[in-house]
Amino acid sequence: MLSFNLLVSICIIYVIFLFGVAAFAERQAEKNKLSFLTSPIVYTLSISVYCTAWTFYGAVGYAAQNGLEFLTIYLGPTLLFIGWWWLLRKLVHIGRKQRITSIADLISSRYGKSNLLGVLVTLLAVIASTPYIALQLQSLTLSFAVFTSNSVNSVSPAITALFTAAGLAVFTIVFGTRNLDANEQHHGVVTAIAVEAIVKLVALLTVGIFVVWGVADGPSDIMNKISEKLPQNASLFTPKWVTLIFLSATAIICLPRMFQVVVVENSAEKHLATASWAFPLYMLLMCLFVLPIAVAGLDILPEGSNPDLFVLTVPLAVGQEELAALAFLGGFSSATSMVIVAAIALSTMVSNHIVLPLWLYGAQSRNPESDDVRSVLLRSRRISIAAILGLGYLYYIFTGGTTALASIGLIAFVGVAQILPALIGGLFWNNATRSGAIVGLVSGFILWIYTLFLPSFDGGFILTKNILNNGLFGLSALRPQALFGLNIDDPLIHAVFWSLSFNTIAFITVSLLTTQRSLEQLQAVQFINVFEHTSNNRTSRQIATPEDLFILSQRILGRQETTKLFNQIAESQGKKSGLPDPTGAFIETLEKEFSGSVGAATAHAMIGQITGTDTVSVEELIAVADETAQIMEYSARLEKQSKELSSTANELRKANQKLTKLSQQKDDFLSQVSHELRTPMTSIRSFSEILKNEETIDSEKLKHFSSIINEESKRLTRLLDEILDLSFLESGRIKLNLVPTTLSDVLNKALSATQQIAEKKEAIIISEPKAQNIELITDPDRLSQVFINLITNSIKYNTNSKQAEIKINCTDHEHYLEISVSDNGPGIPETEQEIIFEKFSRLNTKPATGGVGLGLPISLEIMQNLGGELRCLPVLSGAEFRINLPKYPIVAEI
Amino acid sequence: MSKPSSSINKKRAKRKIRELAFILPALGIFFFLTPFINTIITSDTSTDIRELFYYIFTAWALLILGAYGLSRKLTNEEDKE
Repeated sequence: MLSFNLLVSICIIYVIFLFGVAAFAERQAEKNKLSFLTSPIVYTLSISVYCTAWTFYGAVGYAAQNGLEFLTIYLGPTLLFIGWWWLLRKLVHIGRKQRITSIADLISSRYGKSNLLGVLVTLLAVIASTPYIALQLQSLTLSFAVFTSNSVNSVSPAITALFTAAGLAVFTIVFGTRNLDANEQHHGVVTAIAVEAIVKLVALLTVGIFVVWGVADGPSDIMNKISEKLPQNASLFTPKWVTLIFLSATAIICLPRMFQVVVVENSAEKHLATASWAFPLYMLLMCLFVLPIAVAGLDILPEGSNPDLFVLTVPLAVGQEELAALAFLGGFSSATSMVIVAAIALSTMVSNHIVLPLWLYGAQSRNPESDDVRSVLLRSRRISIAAILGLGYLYYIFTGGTTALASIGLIAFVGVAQILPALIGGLFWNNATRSGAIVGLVSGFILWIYTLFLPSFDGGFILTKNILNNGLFGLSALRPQALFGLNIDDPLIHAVFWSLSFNTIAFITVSLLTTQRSLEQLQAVQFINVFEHTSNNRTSRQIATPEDLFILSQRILGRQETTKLFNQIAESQGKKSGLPDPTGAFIETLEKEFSGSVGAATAHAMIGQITGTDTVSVEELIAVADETAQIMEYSARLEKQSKELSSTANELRKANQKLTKLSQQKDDFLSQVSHELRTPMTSIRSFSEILKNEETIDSEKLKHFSSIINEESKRLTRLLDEILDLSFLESGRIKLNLVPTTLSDVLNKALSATQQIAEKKEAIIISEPKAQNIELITDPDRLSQVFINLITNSIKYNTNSKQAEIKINCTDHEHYLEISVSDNGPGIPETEQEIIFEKFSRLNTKPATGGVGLGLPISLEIMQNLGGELRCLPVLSGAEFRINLPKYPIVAEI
Repeated sequence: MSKPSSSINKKRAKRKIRELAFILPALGIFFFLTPFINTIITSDTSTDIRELFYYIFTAWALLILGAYGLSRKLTNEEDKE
């Protein structure tokens, strides 16, 4: 038989080896050589921390008593892992994105970073994990006792448990709280856990293989014995079967240590894909030889032997001490890995959600950056680890270490299952509220304590045997294991039914009756649509200075990490030196970094304290939305105005050009008028002076000179008349003489007036005969004046060598006439076609006669006064004017 | 004209692979969490627990194989994206 001292030596050597592995991994991580440490294999092996001493020892014991039912504990996680794409992937994605540090942090963060929820989940987790830690201590103590029961040096189980707890506390403190990782990842511990996973698998497989081929005569023999020795199941699909599978699936995500390894320690989401088949495979291998070992134990060991210890006692019974030692190491690995990870996970929760908020509350009068948050965190974690192991030890002492391992584990499973409604609701239900989660958790927690946890002490703690049998206050309806008269044989199913039913109903009802706070709404969207959302869109009033943030960050992340982070952010902001600007995005990043160390709620509180952005109210969000809408409206309006201004400026530019041109024309006109006036005036003055001075002038000369003076005076009068006429037409003061007439009358009048000039220039005027008899009401004099102008212009400006030819065509419409006057002259350039109608305008061509260029403006004014229009048409050769004239007067005021 | 239809087919294939992720847990539930499991237990009590043992471990192994194949397909799809 192995001596106690040898056993302790083996344990110490093994622990030193684990220390070495953990230290090596830490050093590799510090050097950033993470390829192996962050491989999917290490990740999967670390998840196998699920298989604790309960699996290693308890599964055999459970199988010996209940047959195949022990498999439920592994089938539940299998179902969850093979369906990883739908739940675990989302959980891990949220965990990585929100820098979640624990299950309490996840619940707190989802429900508006509520610290109250963080505290509740932490308390629940600590209380639920206590029996589980006690289970590990009990299994270790029992396994020690197996080797020392016949020895004179045997140590009492309580002492063994105490030393084991103390040793585990030291290991966990050394490697679990060496430093504060921004992601709360522990490469050293995880690698050590992975090594332990291999040890326990190898140990169990070795014992199993030995049992099948060394104790029994091969698989067929062992299978025959299974039928003989193990209890037969009349029906496997029972409420307990379903309940246990459900509970074990729940435990994978709700147990703090499982959340730690599955979510927090995950370094790449892809690793989940490997774990989805590798972890079920690991469990299958762990379970493969459980029945054979149980059967062998029942077969060869005396009746009354503790089936929980068959893994050790069977090899010992056949003299295989080395194999028993290996099995002992496997059990030791199973128990220690669970305790270490559970203690790390729970201490993180306690320090982040209980100690740090209390410290912050006490530190309200001073700034958070004035104290070293890191040291507070580390100290609180170390104390928490010791306290958690202390609680486990106390539970072990209270229960006397007699309860079967499996039943202790199941108590813990039901406890942490109370988190499930809030967790699933938080991941998939938008309207799940903080109040609903709190009420659900509290009600489930109380019912679990009352119906399962306290009765597990069997009347030794708080609930007396009398209360257990007769109910609280003697009310049978309040019997802890037959609540409201519901008699379910299995207290576990009874507790699951009441606690989870109340929990879920309360959660849903209260969520529907209450409304979410603004931060809850934001977080709900972040969680539920985690694959769509990329940013938190923090609304910050940004009153923190970068110096404040730097000091605070140093206290939490450490100087080196802070400097690195701030430099990165400053660089991304385009700053070559100095601290980054405290933008919303920067503060959001910082909060996430802090979350990795102190949890979401505390990080949020700290940032809120320093930036003054404790909460984001709906009003603020609405204000921001309004402001954005206003800015967008202003922007659209400005754009419109800018376009209008641009168009107006363009028009003004054109008008200016036109004005400049007109001004030039006016100057030209004045010069022309002056010239036109001056010529006759000069003649008149000269001849009148001759008449005045020459007393002996003969009568013939006198007559000649007088006639010149007369002609020049008439010419002056005509010129002035034209100017006056235009002025009258423009002002609308002209009186039109509208009478019934025919177009032929008007045209004849015009042709007579221009006959002389036409003959002189030998021009041909062709007037369309069908237009002759069209009747209309108009001012014939004014209309003929228009025709005279057009015909005269056509003749005067025809500088071509060929004979001038003017055509007058008319189209008779129902209400108006369309008359065109075209010629075969040089034509009018397109650019000049508008200017010719301007007052005082005159084309660059030198006038052939003494006109002053008022003919067309006067004609246009006349046509407009007659309710018609006059246009110059663009044609290929010559010039063409188009007159549109109403047959009957439609002029408003003439 | 062939390009849009091939891209639609690719998208459909991707969706199918993702939807396959439903099949495994559904099969697992069918194997272990429905009264179907009771049909394995025969009236002859001397053979029931062995048959159940074979049934559960075979179904379990099949699910693991399925999960292995699916995880490779899903990660390949993710890598492509």
